[in-house]
Amino acid sequence: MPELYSSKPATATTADSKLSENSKEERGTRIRDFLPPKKGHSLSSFMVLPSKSVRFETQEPEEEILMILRAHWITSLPWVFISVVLFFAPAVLRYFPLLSSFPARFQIIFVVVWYLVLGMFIFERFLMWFFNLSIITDERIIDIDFLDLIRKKVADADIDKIQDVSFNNADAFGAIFNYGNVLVQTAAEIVEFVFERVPNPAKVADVLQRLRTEEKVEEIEGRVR
Amino acid sequence: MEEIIKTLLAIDIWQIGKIFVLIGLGVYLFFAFLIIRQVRLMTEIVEGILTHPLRVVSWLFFLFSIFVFIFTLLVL
Repeated sequence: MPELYSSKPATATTADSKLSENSKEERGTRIRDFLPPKKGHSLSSFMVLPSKSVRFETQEPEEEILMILRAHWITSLPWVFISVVLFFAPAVLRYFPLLSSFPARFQIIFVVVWYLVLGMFIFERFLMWFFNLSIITDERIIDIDFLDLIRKKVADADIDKIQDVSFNNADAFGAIFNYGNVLVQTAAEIVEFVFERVPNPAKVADVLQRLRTEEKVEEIEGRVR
Repeated sequence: MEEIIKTLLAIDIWQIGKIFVLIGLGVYLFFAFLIIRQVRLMTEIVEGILTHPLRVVSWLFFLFSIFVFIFTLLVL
């Protein structure tokens, strides 16, 4: 049996450790040695085995989140750069008296409104980055897309419905910073899932492939939930 | 004709400017309220990651936009 189907780590050899792992599996925390080490925080683009307090809307009680992915932070650089430029714009505009024909009270209001709109722009861009998530659980993949502030699209597919997983580097920066798109072909209602510009796409594709194999083994063994 | 010209000349352009600024801030206020609803929706879909800080920030934006609206009403 290849190691990926094994529920024990390579170092565990004693009967005691086997018992302890079995009890872990009974509690629903199956050990998957193909997963990267547990890491990530709330702002991370690549969260592995997040804490139990992190849950999503349609999560089943026994379902375990293995990975939460969002676009690599470097992809946010354009709007961060624009925000920095816009932040200093009023100070620069003092040397170009475009507003000098307006009364002083109007000039003050313009600056206040400028920062108000800028603040909302930054917050909105942050939200769009933060909540466009791809979630991999032990049972399925979930893709959450907020198209804008009004419209959202949530799609999911069972792991056993995955037919093909591929990945590519999104662009030149993707090659440098190791991020890219992971494309998942499924036999579910939504035929294709794209995890856009996620960090370490090769690892994500590998995890999905191994989960698919694990699911098939469970199906053969009759352990499907 | 003369009456019309006199009336037009009597219009305070800055008062019209004030009305436009207030309309813009009114639209912004609606947008800020929309953000509160949206943040609530977003944090309900995925719970446990920065749920409370994001909700607080969205409310702060809304309250700050109310403050700016009132400030504009008084200053302009």
